[in-house]
Order: sequence, then C-alpha cells, then structure tokens
Amino acid sequence: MKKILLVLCGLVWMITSAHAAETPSTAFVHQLADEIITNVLTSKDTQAQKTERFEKYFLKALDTQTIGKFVLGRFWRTASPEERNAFINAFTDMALKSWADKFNLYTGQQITFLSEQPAEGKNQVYVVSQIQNDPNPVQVLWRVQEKNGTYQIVDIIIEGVSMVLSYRNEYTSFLQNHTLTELTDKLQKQADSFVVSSGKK
Amino acid sequence: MQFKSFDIRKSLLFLLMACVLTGCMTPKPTDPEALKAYEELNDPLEPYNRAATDFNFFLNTYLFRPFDKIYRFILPEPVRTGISNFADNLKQPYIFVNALLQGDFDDSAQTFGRFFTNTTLGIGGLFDVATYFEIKAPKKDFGQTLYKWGVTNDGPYLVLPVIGPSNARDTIGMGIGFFIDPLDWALPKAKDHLLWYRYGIQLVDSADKATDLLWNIEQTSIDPYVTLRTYYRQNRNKFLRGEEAAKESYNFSFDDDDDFEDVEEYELE
Repeated sequence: MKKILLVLCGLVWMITSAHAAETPSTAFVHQLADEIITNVLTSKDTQAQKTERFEKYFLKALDTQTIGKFVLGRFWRTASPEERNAFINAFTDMALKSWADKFNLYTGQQITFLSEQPAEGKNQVYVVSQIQNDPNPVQVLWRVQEKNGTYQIVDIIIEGVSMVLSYRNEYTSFLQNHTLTELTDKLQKQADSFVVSSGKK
Repeated sequence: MQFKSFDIRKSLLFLLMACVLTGCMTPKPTDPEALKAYEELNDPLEPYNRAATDFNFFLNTYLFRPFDKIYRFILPEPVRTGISNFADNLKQPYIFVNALLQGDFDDSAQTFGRFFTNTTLGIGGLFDVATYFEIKAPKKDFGQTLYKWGVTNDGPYLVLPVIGPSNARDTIGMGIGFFIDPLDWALPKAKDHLLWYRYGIQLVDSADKATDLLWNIEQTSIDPYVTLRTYYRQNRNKFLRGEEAAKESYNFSFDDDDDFEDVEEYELE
C-alpha cells in the first residue's frame, strides 16, 4: 500500500514539475505573452506609451528578416539590397500595425500553453497554445526559431491560418503584375493611413 | 400553402445558382506551367468572386460596421453574449442532424445534451450552461457531411454575397442544409416571419463576430481578395481534414525556397 502511494506521489510530482518546467521555447512565448498582456493590453498607461512598448516587443520577438525574405518567395532573389531593405521596413511597419490591432481585441482571455511539436527546419518548434473563448477555445501555434541561444517567432498560426503563408500568397500574387517597388510603396501608404478596428471593449 | 416558408430558401438557392452560372470565367491558360498554377489556384470564377468580395467588403464598411458600433454601444457585453448564445443554440439541431449523418454519435450526443441543457436551464439558450457543465460544442455543417461521405474535392472557390467565402461543395451543402434543419421543420409553417427573425439574429451575431477581422484585412492587405481567400482555405482545410493535413500546408521550410511554388500551398485530395 505504501509502495503504491509512493509511486502515486512520484507520478503526481512528475506531472506537476513537468508542467512547471517549460521548455525554453515555450517559456519564451509564455513570458512574451505575459509581458504584452501586463504592460500593453491591460495596462492603464497612455495609448502612446502602450503603442511604443508593443512596438518594442514586436520588433524584438519577430524575426522580420527571415519572414520578409520568405514572403517574397522567388522575388527576393532578384531584388537589390536596397529594394530588400525598403520592403522589409514597409512590411514590418504594416505587420506591426495589423498585429497591434489584432491584439487589441483581447479582453482578458486566459492563454494556456499545451505542448510543443517539431517543425520543419533547423532549431524550430511549434509552441501550441489555446486562448480561452467559450464554447470553443482558439488554437494558436507559435513557430519559434532558436539561434545562438536567442529565441524568435517566425510564424503565428491561428486556427490553421499561417501568417507568413498568407502574406506570401498575398504578395506573390500582387507581384505577378507589379514591381517590388510598387508593392513596397503600397504597403507603406497603407501602413501610414491605417485606421484601427472598433475593438471589443 | 404548406411549404410557404421554404420559398425563402428556394429563392436563396436560385440566387446562389444564378451567381455561379452567370459569373464570367477566367479563360484557361494554354501554357503548361501557367495551367498548372491555374488549376492549383482553383479559382476559375475569379472575376465574379472579386465582384462578390468587393460587395461584401462594401457591406461591411457601410452597413455592418456602423451598425455594429451602435450595437456595441447600446447593448452591454452580457446582453450581446446572451444574443450570441441564443444564436448558437438555434444552430444545435442542425449540428445534431449532421453529426448523426456523419455517424459521429459522440458529437451528436454532446450536441443534443447541449441543446437540451441550454434551452431549459439556459432559459431558451440565452445562457450557455452547457459549457459550464463541460459539454462539448462540436461544429458541423452539411458541406462537411458531404466531405465525410466522400466528396473530398472542394470544387472551385466561390464567394457568396453577404455570406462570404465558400467553395462549390460547401455551397451545395449549405443549399441542402436549408432543407434538413429540424428547427425549421419544427417552426409553425404558418408563421413565415419566424424564419426571418431566426436568420436575422444569426446575421447580427455573425456580423458582430466578423466585422473586425474584415476591417483589419481591408486596412492591411494590399489585395483583400487574395488574403480572404487564403484565410478561408487554410481554416476550412484544418476544419475538414484535421490538424495533420493543416500542418502540411504551413509546415514549410524557410530554407529551400526553390521547391516552393508561388501558388497556395494547399492540395486537393
């Protein structure tokens, strides 16, 4: 009887400690989400301060270089370094505004980290999470890349919809009939005239 | 007339068919490479689909969004949640039938339990007591039933006015779905207007849920048509084919760029 109890205790301990000790990739996303929720989404500071903070988190956490290169597909190879830079800048600006707007819909839902799955490519994993939403939670996958001990996000997949794949489809379709400079200009113009959605508050 | 209430649905169906048939087609390319891309893109009705998408974005900007602002302003969140729960509850009989048709007895039992619990304890569906009791809320539709019955080919992409993105199979599924919804059979046939109230409530609720996303797409996408199409397809692909199939579409390699075609990475079975 004692033995059984001991084994049971051991099992419970293993389960709880495995839950507490997250892998580095999950810990990275978990901390990022917590910080954004506390310092931006539920913060009582001015909108300007919150926008600035979100920008800082976003630029640090997202590998915009890798993403920017991927979303241009074959058009990246033929682009000059200047064109690439200009595109990355406009793209980052646009993505930043779009994601700030999406995060703004947050009204205090709980985010739970469930597991980690292998991803194609070197040092990449999917951190699987779900955001509370009754009756069905929303599944969010964070594709995380580790490079020399630092972790960065390369894709976010919400209910099967991949951010980078969608951008890629959008841009390569546009580039069939337009130049990269036209794409960059259009992105920048759109980022500059961005109007936020109404929000759920 | 006994089936008077079905006339609404019949006219909707005719409208759908008219849209499909009159929609001008993109001419098929002759070049083999272009033809392959064309077929994988699976959007021969693009000119019509673009017009329908423009119309839907127009509706969102000038009707749904202003309406939703007022809706959110005058009704506090708990009331809106109640309306949303009510609209969800009205869908349960339809989900129940589809679960049965798919042979998914667990989901049909959960759905039945959900409908029964929320209709009684949840006062006509205003409160979602079922979720509190951890009763699942499966999602089912007749397009999915057709998929489970073997219609695995989605057919071309199709945008429906007001309703939004779909494909040929799911549109047919929706058309048939109008006729197999037990709730419509249960509604007194003489009271045609009940059907309109029902779709009205569901429209208000759907608009409330979709309007922000549509606005975000219109503001940030350089081609909202393509963005909405790829969002819809990736999401529907996960819903129909499951986690693993969805993973195939987004689990690409960032490194070997060469074997990545410039078409949507999603394959028909």
